[in-house]
Amino acid sequence: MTEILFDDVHDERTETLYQEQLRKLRSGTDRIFAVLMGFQWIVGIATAVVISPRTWIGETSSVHLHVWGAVLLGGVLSGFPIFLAISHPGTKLTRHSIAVAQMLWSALLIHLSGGRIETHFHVFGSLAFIAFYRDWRVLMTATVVVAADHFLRGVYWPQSVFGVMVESPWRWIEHAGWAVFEDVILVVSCFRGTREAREISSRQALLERTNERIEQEVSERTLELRAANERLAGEIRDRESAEARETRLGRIIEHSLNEIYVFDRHSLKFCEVNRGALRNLGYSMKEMYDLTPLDLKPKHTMDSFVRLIEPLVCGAEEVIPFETEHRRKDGSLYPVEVHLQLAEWDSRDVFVAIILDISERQKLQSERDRIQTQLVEASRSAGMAEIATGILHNVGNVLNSVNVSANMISNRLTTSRVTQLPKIVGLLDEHAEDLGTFITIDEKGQRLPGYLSQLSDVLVADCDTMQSEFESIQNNIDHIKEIVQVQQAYAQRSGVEEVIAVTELVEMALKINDAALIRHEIEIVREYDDVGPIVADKHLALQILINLITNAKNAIDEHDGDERRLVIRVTRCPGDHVGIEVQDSGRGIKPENLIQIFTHGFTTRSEGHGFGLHSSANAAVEMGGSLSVSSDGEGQGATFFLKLPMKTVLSAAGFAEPDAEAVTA
Amino acid sequence: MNHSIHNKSAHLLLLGAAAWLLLALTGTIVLTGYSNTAGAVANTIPPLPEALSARMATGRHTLFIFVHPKCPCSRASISELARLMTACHEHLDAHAYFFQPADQPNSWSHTGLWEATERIPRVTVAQDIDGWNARSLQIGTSGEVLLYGPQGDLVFHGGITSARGHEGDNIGRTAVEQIVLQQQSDHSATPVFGCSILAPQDTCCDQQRETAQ
Repeated sequence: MTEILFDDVHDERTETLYQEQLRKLRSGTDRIFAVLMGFQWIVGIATAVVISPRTWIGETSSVHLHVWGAVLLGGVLSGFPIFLAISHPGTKLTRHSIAVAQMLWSALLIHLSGGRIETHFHVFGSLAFIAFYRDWRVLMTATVVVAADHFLRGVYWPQSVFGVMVESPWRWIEHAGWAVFEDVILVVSCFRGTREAREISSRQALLERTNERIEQEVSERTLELRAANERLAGEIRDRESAEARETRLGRIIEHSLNEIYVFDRHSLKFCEVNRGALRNLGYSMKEMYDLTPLDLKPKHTMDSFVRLIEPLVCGAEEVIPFETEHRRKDGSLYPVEVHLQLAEWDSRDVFVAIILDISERQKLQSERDRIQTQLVEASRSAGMAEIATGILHNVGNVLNSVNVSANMISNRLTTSRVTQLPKIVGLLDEHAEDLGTFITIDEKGQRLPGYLSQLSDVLVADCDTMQSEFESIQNNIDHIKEIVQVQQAYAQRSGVEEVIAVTELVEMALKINDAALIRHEIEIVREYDDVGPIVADKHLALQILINLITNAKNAIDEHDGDERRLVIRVTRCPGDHVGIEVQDSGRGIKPENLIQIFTHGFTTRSEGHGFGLHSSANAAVEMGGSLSVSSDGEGQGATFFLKLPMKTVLSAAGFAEPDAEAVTA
Repeated sequence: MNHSIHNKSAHLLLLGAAAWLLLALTGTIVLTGYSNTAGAVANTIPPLPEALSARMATGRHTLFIFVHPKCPCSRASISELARLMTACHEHLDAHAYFFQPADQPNSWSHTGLWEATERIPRVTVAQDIDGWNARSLQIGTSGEVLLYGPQGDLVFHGGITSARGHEGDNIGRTAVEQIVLQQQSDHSATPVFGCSILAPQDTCCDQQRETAQ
């Protein structure tokens, strides 16, 4: 106790509480006096109005000065202290101003009440109220005001105070003495009050400190208890969880369709069998207690079973899986897969056997084998169909060119001037005897040499054209032969690589489509870098390019744009690759179609098969390259980009769908 | 910065407090001065009119008091009269004359002050029509008292309060008591504190005035 009282912290807290208590007390007293000031003002005005409302001279009257005094002087006396009490509560200035005002209010009220003796009680009551501040200095201020009032009245208006006309130097002291008498009591009360306030503050500080310690203690204990509770709750949760888990596991095991057996390590008699086993076997649990695994496994004897479980008994294995047959109570057999392990159960060694009835599995396995065989056959048929489709598609493309060439030859032959030759021969026969005269003199004869010369030029030109078309047909026929060979190789997963000049390959593809491109008035722009030859399967690459050019021609033909242009670029790509870009000004590709354009069977043309781009992409991948496409959308044309390695190693892994990443928009 | 603002504010507050104190004290002094300003009193009192002299008591003192019925200050004079009558018992008779304008109804003078006066023993109350008696005796201020001895001689005249409307011990009452009971007093005249009974033009022009000062 003593140690705490003299503790610096305690003293500091005591002082703080004491000052706070005084501040609250004095602020509160200020507020009381603020209300009192207002009340006194009202009372003063009411008193003046009731007692001396008017002053008279004969029959005339005017407002009494007391009324004005109550209103104006009363307002002055109350106004400033009210302002201080509201704006500066608890300050010295406020307290002393209130004391002065209160004493002057006493004088005013005495005046207004006509000097009633009872009104003088206001002075003593006010001193008592002022003592609420517990500040003896404020009492002194009030007393000085009272004393000064009496002193000055004694000097200037002695009769009004003391009832005599002559000032007495001691009379005012007598009156002030009564005030001092009360002051002594009140000052003593003030000191006692402040001392008690300090003691209360000290006790409160002590109490606070004790409370803090108790709260700290409680807080620490609470934390410990909470931690202990949490630990306990955690343990309970863990235990409940474990029990629930065991219960769930037990329920799962009990209701499992797998058969679960527990049998004694030594006697081999069953201790526990789950519901699935009982249902499958047809035995009751009671019957099972008298049986051993040997009663269920007709393929095993005691010797063979002991040998089987030997690795478990000696600890060499933790689990033994094996397949055997089980015999039901009705004698029927069913295949089972057994997983046997050693365990401890109710403080004794037991074997636990988890058994799966594999009758259904075996049936499913047979069915799967059969379906696999069918699938292989179906795949083979599908492969053959794809090969056939490839051949037909590519040959069809070439035959288009052949057809164009044949039509051109036919047209040439139809319009050929060779039919003019018999007429010329007839004319010459007609003038065989005078051939010289005919040629030199006859007008027709004179034109005949020139005509023959022109006819000769026309026939030679026709012959050249037809020769060219025949060569084209020959090339196309060769290409058909190669296509067939390629498809045969494709079907047989083999091919022939050769050194190819890329630009020649491109030109060959253009040549094959030449007639169609000319007929559709398509401008061809060639932008070839010097990339040198590559090693690749020529006909696979040619097949891809023919497909791309044919598609470009179709796309341009189906688009109504003014520009009908096919740009072919050959460039060198990073990583020893060659890029062949086929860019058309055709109808373009919708974004949603870009991602599936290489899918087998996808086409946007009514007469399309959805095979060309699919097989081209596969071929590109097969050659170790890739085929990708980009288009800014419908009406914006499209660009196909074939990338081939400078040296190609044919993959033996077979064809695959093009990498999705290779498809770029 | 804040400190200087705080100081400036404190100084302004102190200045305001000083101004307030000055104003309050001035108001108090003005009010006190007013209350202690006496009314006009004649140095020489003319002989009693016949109507009043007929009311003189024989063998004891007779007091005449002239009151304005609506003067709030005169309530203190009537209270002092009551104390005086209590102190003097049968040694003193008193007559109170309340100013009554002739053109006003009787109720004009029958105020609370009239009724309070009527309740005092051995005090007769009468109306002084148009202040005729007061005027003839050169009485100008409500609450003025004339005290006549058993032989009909004027022994005291003046007020029996210490200030306007202020009850309590005062020289006037003390002097009357001493004259009635002890036949001697240091004072035979005191200032009178109250409203004017008559308008200034109605009072006697040759009266000499003195004040309490």
